[in-house]
Amino acid sequence: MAAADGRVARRWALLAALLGPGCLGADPSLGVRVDRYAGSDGVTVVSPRSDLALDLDDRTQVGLNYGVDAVSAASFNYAQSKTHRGDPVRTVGNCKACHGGIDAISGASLNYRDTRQELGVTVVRRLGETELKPAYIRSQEDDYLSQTLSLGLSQGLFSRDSTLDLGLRHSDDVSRPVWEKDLVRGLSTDAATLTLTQVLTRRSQARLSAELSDLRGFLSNPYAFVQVGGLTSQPLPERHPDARRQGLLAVAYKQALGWDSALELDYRYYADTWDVTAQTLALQWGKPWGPFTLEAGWRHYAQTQAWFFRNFYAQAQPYLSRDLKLAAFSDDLLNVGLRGGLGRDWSMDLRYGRYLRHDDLDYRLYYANGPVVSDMVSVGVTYH
Amino acid sequence: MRRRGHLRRLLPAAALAALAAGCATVQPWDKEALSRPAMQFSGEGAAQPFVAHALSTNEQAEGGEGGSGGGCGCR
Repeated sequence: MAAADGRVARRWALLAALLGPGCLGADPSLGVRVDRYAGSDGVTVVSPRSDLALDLDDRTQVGLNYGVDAVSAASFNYAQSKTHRGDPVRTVGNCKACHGGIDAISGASLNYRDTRQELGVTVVRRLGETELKPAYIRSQEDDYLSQTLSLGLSQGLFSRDSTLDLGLRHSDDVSRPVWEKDLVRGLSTDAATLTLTQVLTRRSQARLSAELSDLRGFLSNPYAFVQVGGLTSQPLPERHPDARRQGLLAVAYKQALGWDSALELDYRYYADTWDVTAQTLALQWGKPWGPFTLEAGWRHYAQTQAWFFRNFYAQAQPYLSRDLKLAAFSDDLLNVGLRGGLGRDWSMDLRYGRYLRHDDLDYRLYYANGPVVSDMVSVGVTYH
Repeated sequence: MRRRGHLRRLLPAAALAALAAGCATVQPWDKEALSRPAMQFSGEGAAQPFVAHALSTNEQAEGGEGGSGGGCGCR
């Protein structure tokens, strides 16, 4: 872990050294933020992140961002976990092969940690009312590499009362389980998004979005196992279909209200070829408060389960999954935020969110004692 | 339950009707209210990349928060 920390620090230093000279003459904007997620299932994620934007000329901007997700799960217990019981990894090595700090007596993974690094490069080129936005994102873990290329095209119409956005995205993901690095599995994703933003009146505007995605390849979690028949039976690896198509429609409406405040209403409908349908409804309110904008919101999400998901399998099926993400459930997100200027050159962004999941699953087969409740805190400052 | 079904159909229809009504041009000097920070779309409160990422680890549906424009149109 210390070696990994050293690598991360060196990459930050290298990025700063490379970008430092460029910042001096290019009117830069530099943002630094730290996000923290803490769930009732013992999972904690701390994510420091930095964003740099440079105006190369009056038409071209380059953006660079680098971030780390440091994941820890203090309560994770490898030896006693139900999904790992009878896991074939035991025949390959011991717990230490996958998890560094194992307590030999209790079997608890004292320092279960994982690190994800993400590097993104974006170029924005303005040509009159048209904006081109190519981007590259690289996300890497010890056992996972994801690379995404995207192209955004934005066109302002009718004195910029209307803006049409077209987005195309291609991702290639490669996973290699920690116990067998030669077992390479790929996933390819193509997506297209079309968005229309329309000014309606002097005090209202709306946005309509449609998105289609096509995923092909390994769509299972290589570390997930499914108990079939009973708790004492040999677990089988999770197995999802290797193709999936997703589509969504979203609409948002924003209305200016009294005292310079504003209210946003969002609705989104999602459906995919695994029979999951989901609906999201959200309300977001914002109001100026001195040099800041105070925001508060509520978001409700509900989905149906994938056709092959079972909380418990009496016998083996062609596809097996107990992934909580594929179950029928609903959740709520409550959030408050404060963002705005700190003098002429600085701005800040503070946010807190509470996430609550609701379902009626039997949690005796999972690590958690019940549906997860989590807290998200973000602190960010930007120099313009 | 039946009322909820009606509401699900009405929401997109109302939004489409609102969009269709948006053909009248709003002059730049009339866009003061639209240019306020509170009038930026926040995308279900999930526009922050970290919140979106955290939600994507728990939910199947993701996306639909993108887009640009609106506001004062003075980019």
